[in-house]
Amino acid sequence: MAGCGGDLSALDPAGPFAESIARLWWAMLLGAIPLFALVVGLFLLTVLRPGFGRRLSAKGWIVAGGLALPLPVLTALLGYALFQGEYRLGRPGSEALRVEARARMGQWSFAYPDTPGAPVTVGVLHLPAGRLVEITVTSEDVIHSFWVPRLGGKIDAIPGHETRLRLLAEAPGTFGGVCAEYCGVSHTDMRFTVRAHEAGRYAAELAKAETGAE
Amino acid sequence: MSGRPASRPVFLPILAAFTIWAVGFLALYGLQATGCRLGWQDAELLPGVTHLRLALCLLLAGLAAAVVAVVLRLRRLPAGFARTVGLAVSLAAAASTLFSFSGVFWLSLC
Ligand SMILES: [Cu+2]
Repeated sequence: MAGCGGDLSALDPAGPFAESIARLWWAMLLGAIPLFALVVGLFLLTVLRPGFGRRLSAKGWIVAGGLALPLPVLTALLGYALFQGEYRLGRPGSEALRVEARARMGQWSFAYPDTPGAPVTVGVLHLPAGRLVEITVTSEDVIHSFWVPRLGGKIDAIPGHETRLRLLAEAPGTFGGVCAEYCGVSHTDMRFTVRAHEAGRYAAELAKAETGAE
Repeated sequence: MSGRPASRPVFLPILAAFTIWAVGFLALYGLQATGCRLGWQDAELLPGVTHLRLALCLLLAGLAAAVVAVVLRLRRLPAGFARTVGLAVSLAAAASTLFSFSGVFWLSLC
């Protein structure tokens, strides 16, 4: 599991939204293990024990393996995923701190309409820890995707359109962010850093933050 | 390839229902995105029921009615391969229409 840690690990959540995604991932993995064992076990039995497969008619196999097994499992997973998606989406507006993320090829820049006097920061997103933040994401050129794996899900950055994503960092820290939609030769350079500051020092830290290289 | 030259192609009854499903998939997505863009999710008809949700629900009802119409039509066909397979496929399409599009009733739309 060495590859599962680090700055960009969705399996090392640092907030409730990333945690709900990690939970879904674990639920799918733990559900997949017994199902895989069952399918491979049945396969081996039919190979190693001649006549085993004939206990069930051909129609019976289709109904059991093609409908009875996958439909409840997939329905449950779909329902779980949709409910979690609704939870992560939340309701627009409300008590969240607004931040704007703007993508263009090779670069992310962030504006802070709720924090008067804050500069636009390039490549670094400043957040208050422990506070719900709603990121409004858009793009200047092609479609990109905003993703901070340890804090939440992905959302597409679409030119001429605004998408929303909620993030919450439970504690101060530094987290990695990437563009998660291939957007051209500069795609790999579209990394950014998220700095979550102590809530009380957020405004001060943001005021002295550097705009960053253009 | 013998038989009656005027007979209908056998794939029509088999493909009809899932073709409606596929067109419906596209239409629902198109209506959802267009409605979001035009702000139909902000106009509430009843508490909690926006214009956009109502439009999507009506579209889904229309799709379901179209698939049911295909099923009824197929039941009048003479017994045979096209009828048996067509009916099975159309019933699957009816179930799939209600199952995979049921998100229009409750999911966040924009
Ligand atoms: Cu990219």
